Amino acid sequence: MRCFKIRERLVTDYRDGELGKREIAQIEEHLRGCEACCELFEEVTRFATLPRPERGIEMEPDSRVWENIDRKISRKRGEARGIQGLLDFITMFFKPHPALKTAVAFSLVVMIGVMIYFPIRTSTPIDLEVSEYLSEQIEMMSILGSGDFERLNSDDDFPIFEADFFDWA
Amino acid sequence: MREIERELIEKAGKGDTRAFRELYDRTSGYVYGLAYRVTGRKHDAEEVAQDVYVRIHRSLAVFRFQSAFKTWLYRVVLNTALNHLKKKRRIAGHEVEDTEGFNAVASPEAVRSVEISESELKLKRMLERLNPDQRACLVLRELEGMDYQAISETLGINLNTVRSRLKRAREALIAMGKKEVANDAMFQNT
Repeated sequence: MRCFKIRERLVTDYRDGELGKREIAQIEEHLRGCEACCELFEEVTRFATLPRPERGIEMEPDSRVWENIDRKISRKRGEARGIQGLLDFITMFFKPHPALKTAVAFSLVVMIGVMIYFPIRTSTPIDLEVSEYLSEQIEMMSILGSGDFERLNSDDDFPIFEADFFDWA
Repeated sequence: MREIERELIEKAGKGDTRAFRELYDRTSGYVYGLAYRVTGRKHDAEEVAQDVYVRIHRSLAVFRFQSAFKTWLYRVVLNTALNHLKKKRRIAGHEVEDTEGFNAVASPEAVRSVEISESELKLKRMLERLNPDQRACLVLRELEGMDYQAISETLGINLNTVRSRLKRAREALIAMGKKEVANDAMFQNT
């Protein structure tokens, strides 16, 4: 193995015990004959080894950390409760009591039946006037079509069609 | 940190406040410590710890025990800490220097003797020189004694990335150590 490969392993796999017996033997053989690589490994041990704190990685957090966590969790729980309450309220309308469901269905059937047999006619005074005017116009058009012009003059129903209005002569 | 019993995790997941508090008491030293080693600042570590527990509280109910709770916790802490630093850097545009930095006091117990304090300070000084990704890898390897496979699983990176981060971290530490030795030698000569 060349120095380049050895040096790479010295700062990683060899240092961390990630190599198999065969590779370890190869590196150690190289180290016996290479001063530069030996020096590097010494530097790794000397400068790149973290001092281990007495309690390891653990450190005691301040009491306010828990207080903040507790506050955040309570707030989230409150929000969740509010949303749940709203959902329950909405669900109440979509999941009514079975008796209520039957009553609503029965009422709907009755209402539809009534509407079919007794259609509701709602006419306003304007509707009536328009409909009267239209029927007058239809009657007049049918008279014009039949050629019975005398009826136009004799009938008071059509005051607009006076004799002089048409050029009979 | 010792492994947490499944029963306690399930209880906490079902919304048992007391169980969640017990879980906090048993893991917070570790969570806060790991967050502190990676972020390097007491205030940041506190924020990370808070985010971690709020996230855990939300996710415990769906925790399926496919991996050990401890491994999952490692991952949540490290991801939260690294994201926190990235977010902070994005906001600031550069790393904000404050007086606290890595010189913050670790814990009342940690500074009982001058010797411990010195080793703590040395550790902080060393970690300070590394970027957060390298720091996370080195802490898991050196302080937690994880092997490469475990580091890779915890951080969600491949084995070669673990290797290259450790390599760069150690090369940076060696360069720093050699510089300090040279400076000391120069100071003694003058």
